[in-house]
Amino acid sequence: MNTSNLTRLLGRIIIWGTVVATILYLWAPLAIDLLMSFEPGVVLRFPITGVSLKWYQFFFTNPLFINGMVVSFSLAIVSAILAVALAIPCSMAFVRFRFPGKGALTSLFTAPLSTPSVVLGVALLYFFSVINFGASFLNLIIGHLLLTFPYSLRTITATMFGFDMSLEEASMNLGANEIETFQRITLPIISPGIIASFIFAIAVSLDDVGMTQFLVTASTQTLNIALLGYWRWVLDPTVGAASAFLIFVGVALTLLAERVVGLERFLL
Amino acid sequence: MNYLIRRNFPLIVVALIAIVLFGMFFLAPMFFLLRTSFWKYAPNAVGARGFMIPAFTFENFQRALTGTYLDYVILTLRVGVVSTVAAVVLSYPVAYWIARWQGHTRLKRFLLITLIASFLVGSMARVFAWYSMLTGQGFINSLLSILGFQRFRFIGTELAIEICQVQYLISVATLSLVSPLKNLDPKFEEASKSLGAEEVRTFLNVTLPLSLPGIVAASLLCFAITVSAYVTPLVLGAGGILMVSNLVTVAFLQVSNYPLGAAFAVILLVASFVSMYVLEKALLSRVRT
Repeated sequence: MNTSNLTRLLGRIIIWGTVVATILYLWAPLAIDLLMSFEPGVVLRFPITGVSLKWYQFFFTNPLFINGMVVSFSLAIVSAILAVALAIPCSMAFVRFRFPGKGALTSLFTAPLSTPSVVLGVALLYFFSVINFGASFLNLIIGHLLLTFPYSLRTITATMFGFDMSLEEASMNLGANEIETFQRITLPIISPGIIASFIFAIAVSLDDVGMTQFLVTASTQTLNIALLGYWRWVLDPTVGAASAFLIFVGVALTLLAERVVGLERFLL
Repeated sequence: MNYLIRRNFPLIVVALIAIVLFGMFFLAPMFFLLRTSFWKYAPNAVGARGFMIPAFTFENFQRALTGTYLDYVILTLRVGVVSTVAAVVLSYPVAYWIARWQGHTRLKRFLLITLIASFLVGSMARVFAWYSMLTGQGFINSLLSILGFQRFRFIGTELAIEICQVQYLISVATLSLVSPLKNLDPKFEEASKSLGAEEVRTFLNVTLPLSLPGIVAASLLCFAITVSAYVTPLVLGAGGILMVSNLVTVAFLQVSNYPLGAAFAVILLVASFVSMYVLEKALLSRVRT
């Protein structure tokens, strides 16, 4: 009886220990990075020697980074909108229609998820040069659409599976056509899935470096590419300020997802 | 006609995506990449386009899998295995707690937000945050020196890459372990308990074996993510350590050896696809049982 109580206690210690350790492991580096970004000197150090917003000022006024932010955010928004717009009808087809080659197409459409983004990047770079497709923002949009579309498809398909088809039938019986039914019945019901997949697509696009590095031109450098280029030559607390900004964006996206759709659904 | 288009609109979109987006911008580029990996690197050949000539040779793969390059390939696999094991071992108790323990709703919710935020924050912010933590004057080193230990050069070591990678994998592994653990039929655990086994025994003899397919699935996912990591080895390896995805970039953008770069890309693709394929099989067998 005594040893059984002891093992029980040990189990509890392991579980609570890992829960606390996980929370610390995930938050501590972000919090400490935030703290270290206020360093006034030119070297990242802990403890900081003072408190200054100098590196933030540098980060938010440097044309390299401002241009990068504009490129990154427009790329993320455009490719996320396209990904969601394509994923909605596509997931309807997969969930509701029977057609030959459905299984193979599902695998194909989610294949970029298991393709390292560096590989996608070189493949596209080489392909664009073979077919003499000039480098431009369009190349980035195509590449990022390949990255984001599979995420959107998976999330929206999952929402579609829980859909009660009789609602659509009722709408059609009452005289609405396919388009009206889609707008008034289908869309509102699947909208949490759409918003969630949009937020995920934005996050995936904003974060990519592996593919993006092959498709950028001098004027279409994303924020991440600009940061890595800067980091290669200068090791000052700018990277601390930049990652504080990116952490803020990531946490904001999470809280937005939490507010709009509720995150518990991802636990099922 | 109009009715037909409206009715079959989803199918039309699927066909368009399949042909334009995936046929042209996914399958065709992959085919060209695969073809290039068998071409011959010939930087000095007359009339060669892009330093290479069409051929069918295995010498790029041979080169990629010998000498220093082989060391980097092995290093990539080692970092993949170490990070995966560490992440799954740390994630399992947390997922078990979320899925099988009653109560603590608020803390669970906070942990869930933490996991998803950590996922959405992305690799750039994470890798620079760890750079601040691990650099010479960084948090960890200052802590070490306050405690009387020697400062340690983390940047440029495998350990730094693994520490950063595991932080990301924890959110992936925990989120993917929760639902297999949640979906376990409580009957088995109850049966075990009613036959007199206590909690820990029940866990070791019933819950753990039943959740094995979920563990396999989470591990393969973590492995595939880690072997294709790019930014983490770039920044925390600081040039001293390269993983296969960095070699792809070096070969293409720095030394313009496209065939060798393509060979590395194919190796990376195979590693990732094999683990994903096994993952899918593991998931399917779980659905069947």
